Amino acid sequence: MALLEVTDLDVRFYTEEGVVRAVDGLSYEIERGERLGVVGESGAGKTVAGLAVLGLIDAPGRIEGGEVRFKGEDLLSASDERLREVRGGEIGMVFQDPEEALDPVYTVGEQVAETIRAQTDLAESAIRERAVETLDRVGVPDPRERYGDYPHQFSGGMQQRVVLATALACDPDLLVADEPTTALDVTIEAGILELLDDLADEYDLAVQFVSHDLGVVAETCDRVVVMYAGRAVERAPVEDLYYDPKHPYTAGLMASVPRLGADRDRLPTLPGSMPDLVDVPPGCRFHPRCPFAEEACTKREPPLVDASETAADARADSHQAACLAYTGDLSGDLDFEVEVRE
Amino acid sequence: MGVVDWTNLSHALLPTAVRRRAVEMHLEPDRDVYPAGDPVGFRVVFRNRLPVPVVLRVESPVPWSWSVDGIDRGSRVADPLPDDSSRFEFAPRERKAFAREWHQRIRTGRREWDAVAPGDHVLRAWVTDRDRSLAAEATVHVDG
Ligand SMILES: Nc1ncnc2c1ncn2[C@@H]1O[C@H](COP(=O)(O)OP(=O)(O)OP(=O)(O)O)[C@@H](O)[C@H]1O
Ligand SMILES: [Mg+2]
Repeated sequence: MALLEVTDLDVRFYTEEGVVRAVDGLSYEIERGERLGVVGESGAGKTVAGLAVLGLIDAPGRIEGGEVRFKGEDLLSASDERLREVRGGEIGMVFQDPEEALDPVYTVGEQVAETIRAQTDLAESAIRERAVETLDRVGVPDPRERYGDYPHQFSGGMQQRVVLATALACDPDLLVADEPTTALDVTIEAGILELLDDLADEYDLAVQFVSHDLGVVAETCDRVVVMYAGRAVERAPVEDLYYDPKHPYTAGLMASVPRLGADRDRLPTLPGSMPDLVDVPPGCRFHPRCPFAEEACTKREPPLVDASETAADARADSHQAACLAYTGDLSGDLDFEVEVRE
Repeated sequence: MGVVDWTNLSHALLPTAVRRRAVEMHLEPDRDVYPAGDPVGFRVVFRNRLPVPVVLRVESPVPWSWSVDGIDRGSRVADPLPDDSSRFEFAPRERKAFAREWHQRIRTGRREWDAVAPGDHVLRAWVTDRDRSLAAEATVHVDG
């Protein structure tokens, strides 16, 4: 049993514009200690998927179907009380904006202590000690002295470390990190990513790492789910995805990752934009932007199927893609190639 | 059409006939004739004619919906809207416009769609109140 199993998740928002199908039949799992990257353009449903796992979808949103199992427990039917216990306990979370996550009127030490207090029966002195330790672990210098400082006395990068401390204080098994470094400078970002890496190893922490940046995901994750318009279009171990993307959307995304040095003649960047999720195209929802689209793509939605070339590749962590090229329904070939220059 | 609430004016001051006509609605395709396979873009436009706020009570969390040739949102796969009520609110003289694209396809199964035949097709949109009488239609032609 995987640590987290998400099956056919369906999350909708009911708005004046219509029914926003933010997550539509999404399935993935995360093993203990595994780092899973979730990538895709803005509006793909990455954040909504993470919030659904955490039980944080509010009106006008609703989870309309599917399953979220964490250590076998069905979180979608868990009580609010149980969900609060899970969040900040067994599942930690870090979002893009540390300033939003921290309360400006409490000291950083108190905020870390509070999550420990909510989850344990430790005595006050032990809570404080553990909070100091956690601040130390996430690289806040002089944690004992800085315990009583307020968030505004910290830089953005240090604030994000404090948020990580609140997420990790109770030894979670899973961390949902949603663009945790997007708001930070590149040098600060590198430091936080390195820290995440170390902590994940040290704590045997599984991470659902949401990012629009394939490069960052490559450095941070073991496996990747590529989302397009609310669905997973490709799932693979990170190297396989990089060296041999199977879905034309992934190939297009890769073309916009400069550090890969992709050959732009052979791999055009993606034309157009993601569809509005109130109005998803029929068939393969990527077909209006796909250079390989055929008539069949407008009439049939491809399931996520094994796309490995050889039987030996088709292991448990196989390479899957949702494209009719892999169900035998396409008459042409996907003739893109990715050139990786080290 | 459904109940119209007046937030600033007493109901009693205005005749029912006027309240009933408070909001007008149009369905506007971006063309009249489409080559086969081309997306049919259309807008659904609402306008409050009155200089006072108007609230329409609707029977769904989305205040309007649409169909093509009588097929709800172009799909034969049942996908009913939840039937919670909500409010469709307009400021004085407010105009609201929503865009949709219909790809000349009818969904026939979980993963299957059919192309429609050439000829005339009727797009219809309506406010999701109880009697659905506030509605608008337009006919588009798909070339063979
Ligand atoms: N509260 C809400 N009300 C209505 N629609 C919403 C709401 N929250 C999210 N959505 C819609 O759900 C879809 C998925 O949004 P989501 O935030 O998950 O995208 P994302 O992949 O995280 O994008 P980004 O990279 O910009 O963070 C979008 O179409 C968005 O507009
Ligand atoms: Mg997001």
